[in-house]
Amino acid sequence: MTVTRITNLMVNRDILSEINQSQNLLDNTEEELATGLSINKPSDNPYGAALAIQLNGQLASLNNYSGNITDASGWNQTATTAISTIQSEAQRAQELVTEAANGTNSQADLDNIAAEVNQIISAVKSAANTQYNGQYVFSGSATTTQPYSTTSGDDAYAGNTGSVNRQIGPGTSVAVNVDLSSALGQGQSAGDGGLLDTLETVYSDLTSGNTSALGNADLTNLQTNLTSLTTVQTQLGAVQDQLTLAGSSIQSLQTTLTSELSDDEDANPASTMTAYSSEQAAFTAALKAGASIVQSSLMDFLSN
Amino acid sequence: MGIPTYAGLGTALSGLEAMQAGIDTTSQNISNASTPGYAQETVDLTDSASLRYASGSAGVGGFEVGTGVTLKSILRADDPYVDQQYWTQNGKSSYSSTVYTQLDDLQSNLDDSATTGISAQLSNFFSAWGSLGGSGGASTPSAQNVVSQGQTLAQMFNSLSAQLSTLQGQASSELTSLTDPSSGEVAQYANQIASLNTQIAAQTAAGLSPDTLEDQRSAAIDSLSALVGVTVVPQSNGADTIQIGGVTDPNTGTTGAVTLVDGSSSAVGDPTTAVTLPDTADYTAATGGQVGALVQLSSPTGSIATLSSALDSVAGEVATDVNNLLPSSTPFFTGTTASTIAVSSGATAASLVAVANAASVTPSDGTDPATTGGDLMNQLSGLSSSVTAAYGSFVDQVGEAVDSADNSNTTNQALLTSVADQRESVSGVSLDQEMTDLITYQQGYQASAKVMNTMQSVLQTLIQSVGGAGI
Repeated sequence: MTVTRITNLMVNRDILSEINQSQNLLDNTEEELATGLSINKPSDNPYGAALAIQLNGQLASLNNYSGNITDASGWNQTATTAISTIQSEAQRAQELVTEAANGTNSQADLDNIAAEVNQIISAVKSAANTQYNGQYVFSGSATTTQPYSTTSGDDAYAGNTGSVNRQIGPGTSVAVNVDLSSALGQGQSAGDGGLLDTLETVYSDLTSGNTSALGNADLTNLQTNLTSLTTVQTQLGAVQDQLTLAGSSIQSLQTTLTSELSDDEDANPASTMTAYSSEQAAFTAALKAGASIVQSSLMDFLSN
Repeated sequence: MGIPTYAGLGTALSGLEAMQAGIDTTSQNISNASTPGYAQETVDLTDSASLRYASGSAGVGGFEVGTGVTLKSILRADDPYVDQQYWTQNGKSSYSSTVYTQLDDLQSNLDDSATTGISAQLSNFFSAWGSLGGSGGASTPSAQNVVSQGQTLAQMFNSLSAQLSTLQGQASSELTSLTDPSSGEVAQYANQIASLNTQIAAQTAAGLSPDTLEDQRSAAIDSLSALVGVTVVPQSNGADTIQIGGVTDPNTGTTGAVTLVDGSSSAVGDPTTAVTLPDTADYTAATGGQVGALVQLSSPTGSIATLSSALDSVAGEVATDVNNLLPSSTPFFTGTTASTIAVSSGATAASLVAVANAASVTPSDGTDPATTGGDLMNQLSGLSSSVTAAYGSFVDQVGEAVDSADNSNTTNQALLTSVADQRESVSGVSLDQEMTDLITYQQGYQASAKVMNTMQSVLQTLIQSVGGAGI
């Protein structure tokens, strides 16, 4: 801009406007340093702001899935532990039946064994009633209903065959529960060959002294029951594998997205600090120059 | 024939008077260096008509003797072309600054971070659906959570929409107050200019130069130019005709350049007929100055309205997509705009639990197949990515509008500074120049005074030495 006359008002206004500009730049950089973000309002980088919103949304859903996986794992762990307990009890029963079947026991001995079998039945039912986070793990989808009554003789299964699902990925959910009721059955009155039926039959055989049934049919049935329990355990194991896989893939997705988000909206500390220093120097220089120009005029140099 | 005796005194006196005028003018300039509208004044001196003396025979030869200096007039340094450039640019800068300030204000209402704001709430809302489905045996507390998150989301939409409306309303009422024909600022300046026109025209007709009045008028036009885009047409009688563009003439009904203040001879005689003030409604096509900016901001097709309807479509998408997946007997949202979206009263925790636990539900949009309640919950939570992307586009749109207004404003302010400097260069007071002039006039005055002194002693010598005998 070339002008032929420079007036004081012009000089003052220009100095003020340049100081303002300098200060504006400084303010923006200061905000970046304070928040650590290069995008502090949408107009700083409109596309970047929209991208940040999307990425944050995706990370939020991943966090959600991650939480669900943790919950599902906990459920799975609880169920696995409960079934292990039942398996140990059933194996103990197997030992007892083998001992009872060998024909050297008196009726009194058999009655003692029968008492222990009774305990085993209670222990099995108790394990079947395990809860995780206040929900019954073996009741199908009726998680607030206790599956088995602790009353002796009442072996009805109060749950259902529904599945309990957890969403572990977009459009992917996994059933975290397994059906234990078919392995356990509904007791001697139902006569379905389940573990409870077998154990109660053993009890009656013991109290009636029927050692041949003990040694043949009962042992065979127990073995079958143990096999079914192993099958259930395997199912649980497969679900756990699925959960672990899903968990690690989500983790790596989270890492990728977080890094993308950082690229998009984080301020680079090194370059921001450098910019801040140089802008501050420019601002100080503008102030100093302004101060000296504003004050001097011809009047300072006239003698009278 | 000789030179008149006292001619020299007259010449020296004219010099003193001229220098005196110069010092007075310099003093005037210095006093008014910061006065708005003031244009620098200079004395216009010319040498006076000289006396002609013939020597020798009639009409042949001879010489001229000067009679001093005449002050012709005091000139006001003013370039109408540069002034008009300033007024035009002032209007543009005022326009872009108003638009930018309002849009930046709108942007700060968004308050969007990873943990607060609508985008975070959208994530919360859709994960709540996911948790509901995942319970398998959906529980009442989870369903209640869905309802609460939905209510919070709807309230956020309502609130943001209300803020946008408020901004639009504020722009509209400010427009009304500026353009009111009886009390608005535009009217005040127009009337002021009209009465100044009358006085200036009267003084010009009487042969005087109305510098002070012209300064005041210039200041009034400066202020008016920030409000509306003005075109100034100087008239031969000294008055200025002020025109503004993009306004409907209240008398003729045509939209175009309207003469706000008429400076022609017939109008200045009667100041009340000189001013034509349109109503607020006549300004709807105005494009300059603060008024133009307010028209744009409050208009149903302007920036704020556009962003408002973009927000409405995001809210509409949320409401429609969610309702489409749910069975038609249990819609979740009512309303499809950001201001009307709300959770339906029929969407209770109990009804949601029933849907989530159902073995088969049919989405109400008619295209998705029937599915289990649990799967439906998964689909609902999967809406998160498309809706979040839609909201992201809205934020992008806001950001771009503000960014572009910012750039436009920065450019216009820089141009204004440049044009203002040009105008300053012509009309402004330079104290250094005034100091120099002061020295010049002061020394000129001293020299003329010295001449007068000399003349005095010359005359004294003449009277005392050349007289009658014995005196």
